[in-house]
Amino acid sequence: MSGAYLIRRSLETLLIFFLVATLNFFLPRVIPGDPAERFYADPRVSPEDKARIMAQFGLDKPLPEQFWLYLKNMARGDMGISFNHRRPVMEVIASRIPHTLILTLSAFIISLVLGLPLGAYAAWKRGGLLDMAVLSTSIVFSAIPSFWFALLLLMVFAFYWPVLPAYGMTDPNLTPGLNLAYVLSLARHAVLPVGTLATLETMRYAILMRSSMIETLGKPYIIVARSKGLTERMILFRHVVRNAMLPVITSLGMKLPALLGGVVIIESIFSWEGMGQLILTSSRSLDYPLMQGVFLLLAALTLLGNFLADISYALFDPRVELT
Amino acid sequence: MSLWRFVRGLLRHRLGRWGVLILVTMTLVALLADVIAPYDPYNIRERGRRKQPPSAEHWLGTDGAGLDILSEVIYGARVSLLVGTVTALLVSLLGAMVGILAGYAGGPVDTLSMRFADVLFSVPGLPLMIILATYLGTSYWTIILIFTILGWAGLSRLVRSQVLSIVHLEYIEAARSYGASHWRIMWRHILPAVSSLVIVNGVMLAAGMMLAEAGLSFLGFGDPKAVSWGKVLSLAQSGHAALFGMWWWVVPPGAAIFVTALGFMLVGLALEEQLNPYLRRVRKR
Repeated sequence: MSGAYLIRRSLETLLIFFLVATLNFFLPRVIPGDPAERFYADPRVSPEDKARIMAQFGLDKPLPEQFWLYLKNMARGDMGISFNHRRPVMEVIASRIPHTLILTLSAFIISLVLGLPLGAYAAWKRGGLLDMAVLSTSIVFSAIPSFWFALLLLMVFAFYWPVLPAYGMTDPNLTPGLNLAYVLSLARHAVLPVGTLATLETMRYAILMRSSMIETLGKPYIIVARSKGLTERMILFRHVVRNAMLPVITSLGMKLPALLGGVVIIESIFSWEGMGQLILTSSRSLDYPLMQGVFLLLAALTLLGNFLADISYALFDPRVELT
Repeated sequence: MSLWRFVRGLLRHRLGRWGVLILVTMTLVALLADVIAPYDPYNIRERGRRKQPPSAEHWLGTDGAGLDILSEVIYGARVSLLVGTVTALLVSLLGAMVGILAGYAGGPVDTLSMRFADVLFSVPGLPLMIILATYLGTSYWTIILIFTILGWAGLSRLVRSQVLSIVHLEYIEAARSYGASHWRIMWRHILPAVSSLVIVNGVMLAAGMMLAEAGLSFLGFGDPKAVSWGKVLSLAQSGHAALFGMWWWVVPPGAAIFVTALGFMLVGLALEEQLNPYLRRVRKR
């Protein structure tokens, strides 16, 4: 892969991140109503105190200067102080990132391992029983509200057949860290949220892989491979699956926002203390710095995922002209 | 294609028929809500005992405030259908307009709008909606506005690539050569060529927007004054209905969302096969 492509793609990603950060800064400032008002809306606050507060937060400075300050602080990893936690936003978020990653990464890996072969097999035996099953379940699953699905699973596995913990991340009496009891408890608590996410994502990936396979199967080089007398196995693994994987990789990057959106809902249902829950609680309690910080970080994660997907696509496909 | 043939084709389609049946039923339920609902969920005096399982008076039991769940589900159809269809309509309009303009005008218009679409694509939608709802408030019109602003990008990309593939065809050239205005070319020659794409996507969008609205209401960012399916489930969640096995509070509203979204999707699939002859041939084989 050529360096020029890498550089161009990185610059593009940085530019989009800059735009998102700009949006993040200007949105609360162009919208009618003042978020900072909660500090001085009280009529008992004297004008002098109000001016002092505004000065303390830099809100008395002209907008361009505020924006510059915002960018400068962000570059240093300083995203302000959370109103509720009374700690730096980055500190609050940093403790939550691993929790969200546990959910998303395990759901992502499980759905890949299950979804891609499922889709590939369905396309290979197109029109067969499994293919029909994959098609109809994927339609059904795309119409199921994820939060309802989660609630149903919760009801079945925590009430009617109570085998799994319904909420929280671990049993409260365990000491956090890398001891067996803690990790096992974490894993048990993760089954329901990860299971919900993975079930929904698996069907998405299966249908992606299926359509990509069908497209590849129609390509001339598959006909050539057949006419060469290659075994079906060889054709399937050497020619079809490998080529069909490529567009799927890029689409996976595109699906990331959906996965991170899903995490907000799943974390809120299962009281999983990750970033999704953080953005909910912070926006409900109007903790603007924290809310903006989490949003910016989620956006950064999405951009990074898209970037990696594009790069790996270029790595895997020799035909991509990298200029 | 005349409207009647269009509808007949839809009814003849194996899945489309079910989709139409679902949507017609739901529309009737929404329109006739005050007639068929046994109670009025907006009337605080029509409340029974709390968290009661289904009984003769309350066929689907009551929720944490003593409201009749069947009535809530019936009235909720109004919000879901309204938000779903209105947003899908607005998003389709905006998406088609941007896509046609970008594809036809090219140059800076194209670059600018597609870069903007890229930004929307690479930002996690639900968190952004939460932020916007926090700033702008959560009345239904605000939510429809938010969905429209965030939703047009996907469709505009599809429309744009379709426009790019036809903009150099002879009939467009011909129109240009006899002096048709840009407006006329876009309106009379390009729009019809992308209309089936817009229609199919619009119907699918209605399902997506309905689900998004329900999700936002579920998280507590719905219109506080309205009874909606997402909100009933939101209250069920905060009342720990699933944990205590109050199935009558959890299952019906979610099933209503699911069935209605499925209805839109089935109609969308049927339309897609009908409007895209290539698909029709492949699927019937």
